[in-house]
Amino acid sequence: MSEDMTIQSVRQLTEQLRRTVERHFPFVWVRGEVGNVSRPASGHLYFTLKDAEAQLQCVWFRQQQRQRGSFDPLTGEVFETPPPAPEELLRQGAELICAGHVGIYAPRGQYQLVVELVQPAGQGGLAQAFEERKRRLAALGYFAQERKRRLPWNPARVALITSPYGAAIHDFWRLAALRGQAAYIRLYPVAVQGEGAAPSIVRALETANAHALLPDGPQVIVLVRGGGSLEDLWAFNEQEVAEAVYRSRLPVLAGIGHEVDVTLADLTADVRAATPSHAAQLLWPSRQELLQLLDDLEAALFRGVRRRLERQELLLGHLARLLRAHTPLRQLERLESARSRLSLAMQRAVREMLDRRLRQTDHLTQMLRSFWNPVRLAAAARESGVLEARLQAALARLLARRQQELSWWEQRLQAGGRQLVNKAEAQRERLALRLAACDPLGPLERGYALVSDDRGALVHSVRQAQGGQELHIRLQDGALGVTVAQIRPRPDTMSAAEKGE
Amino acid sequence: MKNSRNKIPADFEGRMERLQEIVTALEEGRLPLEEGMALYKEGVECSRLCREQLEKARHQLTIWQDGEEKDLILTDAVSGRQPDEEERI
Repeated sequence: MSEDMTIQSVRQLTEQLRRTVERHFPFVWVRGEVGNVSRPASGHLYFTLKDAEAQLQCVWFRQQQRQRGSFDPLTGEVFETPPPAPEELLRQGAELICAGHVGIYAPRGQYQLVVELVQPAGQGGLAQAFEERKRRLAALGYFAQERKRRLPWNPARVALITSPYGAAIHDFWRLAALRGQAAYIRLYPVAVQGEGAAPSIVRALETANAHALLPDGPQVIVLVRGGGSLEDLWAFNEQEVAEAVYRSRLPVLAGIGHEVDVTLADLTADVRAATPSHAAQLLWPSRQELLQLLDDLEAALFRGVRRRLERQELLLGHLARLLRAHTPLRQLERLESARSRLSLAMQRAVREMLDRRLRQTDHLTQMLRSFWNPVRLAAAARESGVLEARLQAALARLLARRQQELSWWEQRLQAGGRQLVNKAEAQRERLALRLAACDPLGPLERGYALVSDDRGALVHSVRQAQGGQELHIRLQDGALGVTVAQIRPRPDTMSAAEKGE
Repeated sequence: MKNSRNKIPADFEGRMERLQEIVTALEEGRLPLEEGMALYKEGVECSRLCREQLEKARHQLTIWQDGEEKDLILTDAVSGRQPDEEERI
């Protein structure tokens, strides 16, 4: 609806709606209950299909009522008993599965199903047959994603399998003209519908594959067919066609019918295009795109070379600078400058060393002079003479004093010695007196006597003596040997002592 | 990479491939300068030839019939539609 703001006629709008609807519902299966059947003289059948919530107007044109006869036009199956006539199928209240496309009938402003096939529901119709075959081929791995091959990019040699008379080749050619490099397209003409279509397609696939082995053989197979009814497309659901596609050594690009049509050949092909035009689009990039790619590559070429040149230029400049820096003259200059620098340094070092030595020498000389000055030496000699004289005098004085001290101490020692002897003599005399006073024999002179036993032990008490015992009595001038005649102890202890005496 | 100088492939894909090879080699920048310059020239030539090829590109259509190839010119845009589709409106 590109012209939203313009006022359209009813016919124009209806025409747009018709295109839209037909594009989106080119082939559908519908299940429902039959009602309102009418059959005018034209032979077309009009009826409604309905269920609990909706109903659909249907028309079955006389030309499409091909189910009269003794074989199935789609599968070629010959019926043992002829199928029911259309009017028999369309009994009021019967449950049917109808196939066809949705169209718009402008005079009445109504949409309707343009019926192509009618089957009693639950009888196992074409749809089920298709599904069943699809399941079987899927189980065999025909549709497996991992066996899909990529198409060659921008192919130069293409095998086109389609009818030379159909819309498909024109659609394909029109789009192809604007795309890709100049390619050789070889058409393998086939019948795309009706009896013999499937075998001719199989043969064409085999021939194209055989040609692929030749030097300029095709690189890819394009299998296309324009839109049509289920019946028209049925050849592409035949197992032999699917098998031939499966076996193809060349990658196969299939574009059969409209966007919504899916055939077994489509599913088996390596790449599936929605339509023949789409197949051309998938096969080749557009020329604009290729030219743009070339532009990009050219730019990259230029960039690559320029970068390379810039890098080389930089390197060259660097090397040239290095070279200039290393000419013999520069080398000589550098050496000369190094030499003069070193020479200066050496001179300076020698001068500094000499200075240092000179300063040291001066210092030492001064020190030496200050030590060996004659005036100082004379003064020192004088001083030394004085000191020596004083030393001599002092020594003499010291000797004299020590002599005096010595003799004084000698006198004192002699006096002291004498005094000590005198004192000791006096003391001895005093002690001799005291000793004499203490002589045990002294009392004997005064008449006392000492009594002792025969062993010499003194007898102090009468109790020490026994009658008849011999005792010694010492007197002042001798001793007496006596025998104890009588013992008379004093009543107190003293009496014994008296007796002893 | 191949270094077949002055041997530009005759077919479009070959030339595109060669051109891409050359661009990659130049972008890596490890080639000696002279070789790089030669490659650049070859790349420009490849690109020019490809461009010419594209600008002049016309697909050629033939038909395989009775075991031989014949030229085919599509003239009449035959409609493959069913008559009923047109008939209804």
